[in-house]
Amino acid sequence: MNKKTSQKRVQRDFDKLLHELKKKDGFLYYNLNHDNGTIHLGYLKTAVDPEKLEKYILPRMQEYMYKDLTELKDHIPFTKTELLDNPGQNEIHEKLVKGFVFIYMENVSPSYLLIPLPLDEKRQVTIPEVEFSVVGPKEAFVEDIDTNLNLIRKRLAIPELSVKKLKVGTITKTEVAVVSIDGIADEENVNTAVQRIKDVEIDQVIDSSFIQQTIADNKNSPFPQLLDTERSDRIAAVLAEGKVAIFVDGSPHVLLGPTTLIEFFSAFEDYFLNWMTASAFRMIRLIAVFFSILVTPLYVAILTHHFEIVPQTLLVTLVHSRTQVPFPPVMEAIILEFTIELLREAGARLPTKIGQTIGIVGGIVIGTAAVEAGLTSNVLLIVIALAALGSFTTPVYKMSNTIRLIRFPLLIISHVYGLIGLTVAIAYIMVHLLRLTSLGRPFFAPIFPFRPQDFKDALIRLPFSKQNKRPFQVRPSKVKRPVANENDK
Amino acid sequence: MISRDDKVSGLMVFFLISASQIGVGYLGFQSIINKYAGHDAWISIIIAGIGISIIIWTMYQMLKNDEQGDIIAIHQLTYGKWIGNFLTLIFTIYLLLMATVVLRTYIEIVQVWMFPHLKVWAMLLLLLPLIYYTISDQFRIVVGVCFLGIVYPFFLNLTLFFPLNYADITYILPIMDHTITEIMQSSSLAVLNFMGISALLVFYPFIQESHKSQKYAHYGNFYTTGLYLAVCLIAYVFYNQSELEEVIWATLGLWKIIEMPFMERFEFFGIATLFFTILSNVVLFMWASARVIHRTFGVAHKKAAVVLLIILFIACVIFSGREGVNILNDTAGKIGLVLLFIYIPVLFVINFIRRKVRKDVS
Repeated sequence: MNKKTSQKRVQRDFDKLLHELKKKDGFLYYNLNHDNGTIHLGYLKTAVDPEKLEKYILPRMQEYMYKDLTELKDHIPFTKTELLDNPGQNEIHEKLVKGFVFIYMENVSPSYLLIPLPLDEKRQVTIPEVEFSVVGPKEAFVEDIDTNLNLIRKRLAIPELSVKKLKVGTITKTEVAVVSIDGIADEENVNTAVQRIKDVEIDQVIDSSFIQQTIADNKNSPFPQLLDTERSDRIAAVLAEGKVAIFVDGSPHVLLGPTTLIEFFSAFEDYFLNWMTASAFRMIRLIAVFFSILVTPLYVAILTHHFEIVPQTLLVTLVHSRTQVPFPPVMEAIILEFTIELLREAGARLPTKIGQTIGIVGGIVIGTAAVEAGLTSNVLLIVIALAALGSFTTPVYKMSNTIRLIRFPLLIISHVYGLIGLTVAIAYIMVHLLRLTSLGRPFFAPIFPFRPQDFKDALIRLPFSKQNKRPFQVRPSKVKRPVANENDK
Repeated sequence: MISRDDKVSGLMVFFLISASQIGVGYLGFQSIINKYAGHDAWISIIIAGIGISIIIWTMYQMLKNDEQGDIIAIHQLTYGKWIGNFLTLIFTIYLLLMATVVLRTYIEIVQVWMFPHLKVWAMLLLLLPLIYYTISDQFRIVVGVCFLGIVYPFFLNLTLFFPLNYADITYILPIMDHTITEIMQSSSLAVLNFMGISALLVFYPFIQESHKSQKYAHYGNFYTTGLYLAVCLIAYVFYNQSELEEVIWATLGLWKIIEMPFMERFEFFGIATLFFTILSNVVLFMWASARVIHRTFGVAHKKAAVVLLIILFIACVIFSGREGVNILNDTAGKIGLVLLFIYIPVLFVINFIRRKVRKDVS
């Protein structure tokens, strides 16, 4: 008697649900007569993979023998199927949106079977485009978080790999995973990352850069404080060093921290080359950065205030190239810098092929014409082109943007206060960098706090036999690390 | 209590001590200290260095025995709360004076060598926010600036080899041509360039295992002494004594003769690079004085910093011209001499007796 009334209630609720669902756009519904009563099947057209449904579910429902849904479940080759007795309307709605198919059978208990058949639209794993390297692995992350985690699990197939999953975003409910290796990574770093992600109050997380910006230690800094990479090999390597990686569903860029300023200038290719070559390239990159930041402001400062510094022979060349130019050096420099930024921005917004053409047109035609017309001097044109080139050597895109940005205030202060102004501005940047932290760890390490042991992989990269300790920056739980050639020492 | 995060390693004492000592003096002390000892004045630098080492030892003896280990605690223990705080206040004024001397002298150099029409207040408006930005956060930022203030301008020392081409060793011969008294008198002038160590009395509790850091403090002092000695000797073999009387900034003069294919007038770069040393000097003194005010009167550190920076601004604007700068330097030198070599030993003795008495009572 009791059972019968409850069955009636379930039936009544189902009728109500069906009535609601039929009003929805794209809701498909079938029913089928069975010995034990009618079977109802419904799903949302856009959310479900029709191929799987037709291949695995529909034939089995008709052809196989079963008394109730529990038996049917055994015939269906999918994991994460759920048997429910009388779920609320909301739950059914939620599941349908996520790509579940529901099967309702009258007069049995449990009466609902939910089968996940989401439409998987994944991009294939491709070669890295932003951080391309000639040698080494060529796997880049994709948008799907499970694929990305899988790429890492393949490289680090150890039980210590810990993945902490969280949901962020009041609307998007994006899956975020904090990954680290137990026993190597410092608990405190992992907890900091998890806690900060939990504290994020945002309605949507579209990309990992949303997380990068919201959990940054100093949100008002032009410098990125977490490194983002699309290379799975890089993430695997830094996890083994004891760092923490943050995966965000829907983003092909994975964040890692705690990081340092110098890490932004180390390309992962450095580890695939002989240590001498790698160190030389790294030094070149660092020099390129300093050159890129300083050379135009120096040009402006010297030509505006201190031309005595320039030796006479060089001064003749400089003055001669500037005789036609009607502007002060700072305007000349800003106009040219602006032109370069325009070219870059236009190139970035256009499809690759047109972008290349724009680059050639801009570089050759505008450049030559500007010099011939007497709007800029050709010395400055060379200087600025080299500075732009220098900023592009930075392997991390976000950092190279920062480098280009901080040039402009330096230009202006050089015009006003000359060399002293430039020095003071550099001091501002220096103090700012000293104040920055990444997941609570100093950003300017190993220079300050001075950690000589971390210099083995900073300005230069020493051979693997010397990389016998994990960086102190991340406070690894296990400092010692097995060395490649122990006998060499 | 000072949190563990805020403390810095013992090695940093080396940089803190050197950074607190090396300042504007580096650019022109050679023609000041030779007033009594003439070409033998380089010996007085060694004597001054040794004297300072003794003072560092004295300071450590006092600091080691105190739990909180800074000037405020020592003063309060020695003289009681009211007189102690009063003396601490005078000490703060002295720190502030040091910052003013360094900053104002540097601006003077910039005015003379680079921008004759630069207004002092305009330069200060550029610098004071930077100083505030440095001292308003943790102490480790100040240490970082001091560290870079020693490491980064290090390459300037290499440039001193250029003038050796024109050196004449006979300028400093015969050695010990002056009496001990004359050399000691010159030493008392040289001390101005070592005076910054009094900041040690404030930052001591911020050092990890501070009682073990004494050797680094001495190394820092040795480094400064060695550097001054080298700069002084090079200047003395480059200029003869009558030339030195006319030169105000001897080191800048040494830089002037450096020529490279892409650069002349190296002193422009020298002055600009030296800014990092000046900055570390000033921020250390300003941080120390803000810290003392904070500890003594319980004013928030940031508020204290703002007030002190305003005072610094006013002081720098008031003392104008070459005469003003000279007055500042002379006063600071005299006060510093009294503080380091008379007050600190006296304080040490009184403090020692006071501790003994207290121990006996308890």
